[in-house]
Amino acid sequence: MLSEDRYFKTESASELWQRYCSFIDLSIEEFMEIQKELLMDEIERVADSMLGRRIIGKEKPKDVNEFRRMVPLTTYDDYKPYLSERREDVLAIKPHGWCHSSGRGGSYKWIPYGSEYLERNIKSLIGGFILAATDTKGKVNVAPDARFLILLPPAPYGSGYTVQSMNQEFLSLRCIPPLETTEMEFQDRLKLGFEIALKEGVDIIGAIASVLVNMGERMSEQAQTTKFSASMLHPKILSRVIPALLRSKREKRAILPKDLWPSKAIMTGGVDTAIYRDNIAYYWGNKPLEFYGCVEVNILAKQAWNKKGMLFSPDNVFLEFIPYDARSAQQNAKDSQPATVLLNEVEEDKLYEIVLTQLWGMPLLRYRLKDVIRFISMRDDEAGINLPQFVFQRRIGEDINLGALATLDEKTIWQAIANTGVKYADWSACKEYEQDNSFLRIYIELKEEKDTAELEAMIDEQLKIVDTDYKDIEAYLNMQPVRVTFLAPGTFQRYREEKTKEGADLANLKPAHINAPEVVIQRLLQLSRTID
Amino acid sequence: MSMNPFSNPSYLMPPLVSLFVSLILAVVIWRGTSRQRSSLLFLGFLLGLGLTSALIFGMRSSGDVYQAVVFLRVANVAGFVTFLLYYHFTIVYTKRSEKRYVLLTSYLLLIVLVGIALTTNLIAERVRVESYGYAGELGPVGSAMVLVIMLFIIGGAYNLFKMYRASLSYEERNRLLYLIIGPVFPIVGGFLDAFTNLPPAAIWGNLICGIISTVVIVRYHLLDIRVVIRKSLVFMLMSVFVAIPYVGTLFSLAYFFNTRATPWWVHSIVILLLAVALRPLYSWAQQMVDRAFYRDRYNYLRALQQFSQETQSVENLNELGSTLVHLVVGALRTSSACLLLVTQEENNLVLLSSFCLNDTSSKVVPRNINPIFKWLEPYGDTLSSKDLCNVPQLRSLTIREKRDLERMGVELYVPLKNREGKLSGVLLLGTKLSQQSYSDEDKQLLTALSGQMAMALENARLYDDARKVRENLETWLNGMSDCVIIVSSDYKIQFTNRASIEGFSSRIGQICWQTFGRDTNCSFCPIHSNPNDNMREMRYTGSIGDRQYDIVVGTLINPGGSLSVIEVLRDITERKRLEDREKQMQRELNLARRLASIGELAAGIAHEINNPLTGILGFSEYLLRKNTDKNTREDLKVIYDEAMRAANVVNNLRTFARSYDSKKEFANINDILKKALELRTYEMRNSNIEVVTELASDLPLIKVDFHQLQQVFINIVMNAEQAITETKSYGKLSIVTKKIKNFVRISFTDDGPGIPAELLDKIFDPFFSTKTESGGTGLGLSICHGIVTEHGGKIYTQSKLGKGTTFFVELPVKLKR
Repeated sequence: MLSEDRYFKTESASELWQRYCSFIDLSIEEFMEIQKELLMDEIERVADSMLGRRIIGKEKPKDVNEFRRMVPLTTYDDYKPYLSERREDVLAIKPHGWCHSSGRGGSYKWIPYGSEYLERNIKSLIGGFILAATDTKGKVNVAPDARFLILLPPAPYGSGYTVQSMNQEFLSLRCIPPLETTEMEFQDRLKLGFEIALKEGVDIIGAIASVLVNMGERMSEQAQTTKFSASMLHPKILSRVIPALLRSKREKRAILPKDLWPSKAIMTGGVDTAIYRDNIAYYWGNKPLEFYGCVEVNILAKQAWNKKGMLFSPDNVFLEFIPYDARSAQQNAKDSQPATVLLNEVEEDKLYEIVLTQLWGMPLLRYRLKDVIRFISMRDDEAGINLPQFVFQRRIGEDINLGALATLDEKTIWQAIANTGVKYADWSACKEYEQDNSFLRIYIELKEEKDTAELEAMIDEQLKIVDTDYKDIEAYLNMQPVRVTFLAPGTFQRYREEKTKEGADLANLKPAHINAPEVVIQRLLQLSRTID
Repeated sequence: MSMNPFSNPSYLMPPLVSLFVSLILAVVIWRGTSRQRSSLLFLGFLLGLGLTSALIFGMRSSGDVYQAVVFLRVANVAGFVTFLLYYHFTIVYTKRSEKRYVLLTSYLLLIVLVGIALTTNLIAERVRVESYGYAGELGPVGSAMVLVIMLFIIGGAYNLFKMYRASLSYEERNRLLYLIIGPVFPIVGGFLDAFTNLPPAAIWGNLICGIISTVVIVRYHLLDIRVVIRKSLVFMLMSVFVAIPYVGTLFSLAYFFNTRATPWWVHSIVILLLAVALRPLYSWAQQMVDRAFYRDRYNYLRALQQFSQETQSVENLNELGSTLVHLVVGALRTSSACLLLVTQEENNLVLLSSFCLNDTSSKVVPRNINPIFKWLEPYGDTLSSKDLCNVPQLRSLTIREKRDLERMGVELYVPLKNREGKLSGVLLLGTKLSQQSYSDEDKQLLTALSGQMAMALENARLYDDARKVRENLETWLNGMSDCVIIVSSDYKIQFTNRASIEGFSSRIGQICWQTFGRDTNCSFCPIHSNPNDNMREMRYTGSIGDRQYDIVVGTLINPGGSLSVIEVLRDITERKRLEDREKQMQRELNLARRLASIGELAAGIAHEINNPLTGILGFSEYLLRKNTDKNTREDLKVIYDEAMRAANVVNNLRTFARSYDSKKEFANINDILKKALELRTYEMRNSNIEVVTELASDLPLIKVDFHQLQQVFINIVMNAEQAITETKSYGKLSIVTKKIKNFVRISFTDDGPGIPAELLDKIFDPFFSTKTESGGTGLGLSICHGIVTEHGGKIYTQSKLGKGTTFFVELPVKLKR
């Protein structure tokens, strides 16, 4: 029996809640106490390693303030010579394994995962399952043999590695598709996953939000045209499809995923979760629980059961925050060492860049994650939460500055496009110039007919709602800064096929939403013209 | 054939009760558990129980037997489904997938049975009408169904038992025991129904099984089942104890008084008597059951009773710690235990006592800022090792700390809190020898015990502190060289320190002023003054025996507000002696200074007088040689003699003032002394003075001016000679030389009249003489003092009036290299 299975078997719901979710009940003082204790332990552990000596120097900081004063802020470049080679001799501990990022920036970021660090991440993940599966504090609706539909990249991507380790060493969830199929292409795995889910059912779903919405849309679109095949005569599939069909008929709509898989919990990560929350709830029957992760920290934060702002976990990284100002050039300068604040010093409704120090002997110290978050509240009295809650805002460098008046990031533009209600396949945006004026160019592939000017006006309208700074642009510049270029239907799909053939990494199969390289944009336009 | 079903409510009500309770249990399961397969199957079982109960109610309330038979058939099939679901539940719950073929067969059989039930009377042939109502008679298939139902129940219990044997967790094993006991009730009920003519019992058995299983599924931490069994046995025993005398009394009354109906007052008296007898009976039954079935726990309770008795008598903190640890180890049968105490000074944790805890030899004591101990103070519950991973505040536990604790084998952390709620210590317990986990009951008892332990430790610590304070005070007071005496308000000595005991012996309890030889208490004694007055300490010097003391008297306010007196006596006898000696030395110093200044003066005077005196002497001598008349000659003689006398004085003055160079050479003192005596031998003989010498033969050579020293000796000898002849016609002068340490002492003892004590200080002063009439210049001894002092020695005298005088001359030995 795996270690966490045993707890599920022998402990009451309240004990399970305490084990996995009770960090929510910590006071900010208790949270900081845990942070400080573990940071001092981390310093002890890594200070004598080669990488630790290189970052920390000869003298060990004696307390948190000394640590913040003596140790410089770092980026991946500081670790790259060692970590990209996966050198274990420079680390303080022997890693359990190595994971890499999506390679979105052009190259992978390899990060080692220590056993203890991994354990914290996995417990945090299990806590996420429990929180996702309930809307009541203290209620545990997750069983160790739950069916877990996982629509995330496999190991050695961080998310896949964590799920794989969880399944092998901690909690024996029934993963769909099975983890043994990681060698298959992602799309094939998705297909296989849904086939199995159709037979076995699903309790928990872990996915990228846009994938879920995409699946929901496709299902509702194709439902009318789908024919029963022989494979669907399997009793288990029938027992799932027939009630789903009846339900959809009763409600006079197309069959949706929620009819087939009345899941208990949905966990999604990524910038699009906030955008698609309602869509996911519509298609899949449950509001998703948003988690915030990256290859450096698999589960850095997640929402509570009430699915409002996200909360940091206290025991996997030590957190610092740089007050963020998008217009400050110094902020983004490579060697700048801006002052940081701690979690108990952040202010509501302000933007901060995350700086983290991995704990449990891991190597990243005062590491600038280049992610910007906004604290939406310092506590939630209704839920009895006394910790700051935040939403993800943007990645540094992935934004478009218009006339020094507004900075539009992926989330903002995406939200605006989604709010128009237009059905689209995908989009990519960048900044272009026209007679000394900068404007926002959106290349978009629609699934329906729309007039360019009309869509530009709609997006402009939504941007004004989503981003308050944006409202000023029109007033000051006396212009409407949104320009739309339609791409032919199937352009993004064609691009993806091309990249798949080239053997591109998962993260590069589709164009970046913000500031995609010129060559990519040109290729999209070429493909669009070809299709036309 | 028909009957009135409502004539017997006790027959009709059970299925209704069962239906009602089953539905409540179903709601509890629906709301209280996650929608797991096992929970859903158990929900089906409860609903099946409810349905079966409803059908049985239908049968029992039927107006005629035909209708009742139909209900009976369907109820049997429902019962079959119900226990098939129960069996299915046990398979899913215990994850015994290999039993799936049995399930499949059973479900197929169910379809067949439904067909049989609907089409034939093979399941239930008919119903009998009994006194209590309908009693079903099963057909061949019905009997087989009951058998299969029994097999389902037994099979389910077996599945649970297999899981029970495989499980290592105490909690899980306890829960499984409950689940295993649950099916016993339907089995017993089924057998009673099948083989006896008693009223139907299976329905109650089913209900009890449902209730027990529901509780187990919904609630996790259950009372130890052995405790439940023990309690049940106590109550059963009590029922027997009550029933036998009660029934016996009623039977006897009926027999002796030949009455059928027992009057109400008889019942009252019997109940009253039983109530009086019940309490000791209950205790006795409890003890018997404890002894018979739960010896460990019985000993445990006994040990806890011992706890308060044993800890009360222990005052030493370490001894108490050891006692506590061994009591807990013995009572709980733990493999190890360790008691950590929070020190008051540094708020640190120290090991007070341990028993077999792994690695305590290396004194691995968790740091006091360890999050566990931080957590225990505010939250304060007993913490198990399992909780270390669950409690959110303990997330800051580092791996090293966890490993340390694991290495120590700690299973349970019991906080010991004092009355103010502060953590005064922590009891760490290892695993139980039985390898079972600590039950809730264990933890509750430990929690109760921890309060007493904390109190006992607190008392011991206070006692220890008080003892240390007392020891410190005693050490400090006994370390003092001064005598410290504390006297109570009734003048009795309460305390004496070591110096006092050495000085006056221990006189505790004696009256202070009597002890010190006074007739009454001291007039200034502050013992009865007002404690609120600002008392000042008093100082005085007094003698006790032959010793002198500086005495300081102060007051001490006792806890009751009364006063005690503290006297600190400092022995100053030696100090006084040293002070006298110092005074003497000061006097000698003053003398030397005076002599030095007089010497300078004398040298000047001698020089000034010498010239005119030379003229007077020369001319007077010249005139005497001339032939002058007799009268003139006599006058000239007077002038010449007086001038000679003056010249002698001047010469002496010159000697005193050392206006010539001395010449020191190594010489034997005895030789110098002999030469000096030779010069005075004639005069001494004429004066009938016997000279006795006792000269040491081993005197070292010392560097001296031969002539000066000879002058010293002659002066002293002449002084003695004059002193003797003043009062006596004969006398004795003893002269002794001796080497004492690093100087040579020469003593001159005469048996003359002696020198009055008041003059002793002055005899070395220049011009001091008691022989002015006989022509003494008063410079002889001054010159002696000057010469001896110049040689680095000293000259002094001891004298007793009428006995004689001794002059001592001590000269330092400077070895010839």
